[in-house]
Amino acid sequence: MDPAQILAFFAVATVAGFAGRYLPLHFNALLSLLAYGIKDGQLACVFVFCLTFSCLACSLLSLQEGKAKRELELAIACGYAACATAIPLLFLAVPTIFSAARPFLWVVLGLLCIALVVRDSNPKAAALVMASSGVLGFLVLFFPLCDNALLALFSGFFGFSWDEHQAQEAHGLGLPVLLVPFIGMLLVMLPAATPFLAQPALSAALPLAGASQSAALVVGKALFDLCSAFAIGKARSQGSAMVADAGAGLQAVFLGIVLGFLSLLCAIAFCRATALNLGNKAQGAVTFAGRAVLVCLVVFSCGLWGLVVAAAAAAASEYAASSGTHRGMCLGSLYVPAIAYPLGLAPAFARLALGI
Amino acid sequence: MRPCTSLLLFAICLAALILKARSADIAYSPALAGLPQHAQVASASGTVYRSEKGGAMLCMGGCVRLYGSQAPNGSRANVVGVWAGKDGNSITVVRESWTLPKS
Repeated sequence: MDPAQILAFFAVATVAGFAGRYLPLHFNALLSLLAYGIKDGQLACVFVFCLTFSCLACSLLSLQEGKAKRELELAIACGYAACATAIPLLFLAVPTIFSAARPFLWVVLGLLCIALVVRDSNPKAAALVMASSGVLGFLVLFFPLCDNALLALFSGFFGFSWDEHQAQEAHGLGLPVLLVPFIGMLLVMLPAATPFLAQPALSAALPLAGASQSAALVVGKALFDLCSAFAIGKARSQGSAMVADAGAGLQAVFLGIVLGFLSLLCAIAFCRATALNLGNKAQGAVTFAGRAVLVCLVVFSCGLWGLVVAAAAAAASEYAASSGTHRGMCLGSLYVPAIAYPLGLAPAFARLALGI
Repeated sequence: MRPCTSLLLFAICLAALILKARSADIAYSPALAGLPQHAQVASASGTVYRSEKGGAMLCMGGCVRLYGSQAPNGSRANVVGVWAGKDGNSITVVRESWTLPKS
């Protein structure tokens, strides 16, 4: 690998990740915009790692100010370091556990979904959002209605509607960092799992878990995701699929892990050096521009039917926000199909939808 | 946006998507596909459904043997999703794992 090229890709990915602080562009959108057409597998691998952690760190840090922000910075860096240290365990132990537990993983996924709904501040609305998102996800993932279906779904759920920044309570760090790799490894084994799904498990293990612990888990899960295709042959995210499809070797993955950490540290430094608020007018303009980019991206990548999918997803997301439930319930679009397949409900749904 | 307005918009979009799905214009989807596109089915296991509009669909979790320009001859794919074209032969396979034939 040419060091100059690696440095260039590192720089572009890191700077692009900063966009997550101001623009309503989710990670999949940034990846689709920037990583399209990278031919070299090793460079693609480095790019995905750097973009992932720069983007994640900027998004997480935009939630906090003051002392809590310092705690969050520490949590993000320590979560990454803990999970990077645990990667040998991911390769050694998780494949065996995954093979043994595979037939029962959908049960775990189902129980975590139920826990999420029950624990929500508005369980009825949460159940409705998860179920309706599930139907949408089933339809979009099962029928080839549009290209790049996940981009359309996530743009609708998390791109067109954007939460105002809300400070969360942070609670130091300590022991949770040691737990993060284990919860992250559990998540990597589950189909369609996101860090949001781990909240019930995290809260059960640590009743006082707050933003710091969640942030450490988000970062750790993302790191395990990118390695999961090599460890258990499963790509759990678009970034992970790209790393796997790039055909890069383990050497490139380890380089990605190191550069990803540097990218994360750059993002922390960037967030320290810049003010959170652009001002209402400027932020409004940036948000509008970001949404316009997202609409163009959805139309270009997914076609016009992708826009219909995104509109349905945005409506579900808006319902979640207006009814006081967590937008994360929209991820039922992934969880519900992942639970339904092993239950044999997929063919029944297809028969129903096709009218056969 | 008010909750009822969001639900109404969701219902309208969902109805449109269901109508699109039922139109049976489902021969090809790069989003689902991955590999291979329009491969030919040599043999298949798993329940096969045939819609009244002519498309055939294989049950998820089945296994197909494939041949064709974009699928290595005799290769096997564990199927996560399969879509058949209107002719009943061309399919799009979403693979979970992908194994080449032993030479």
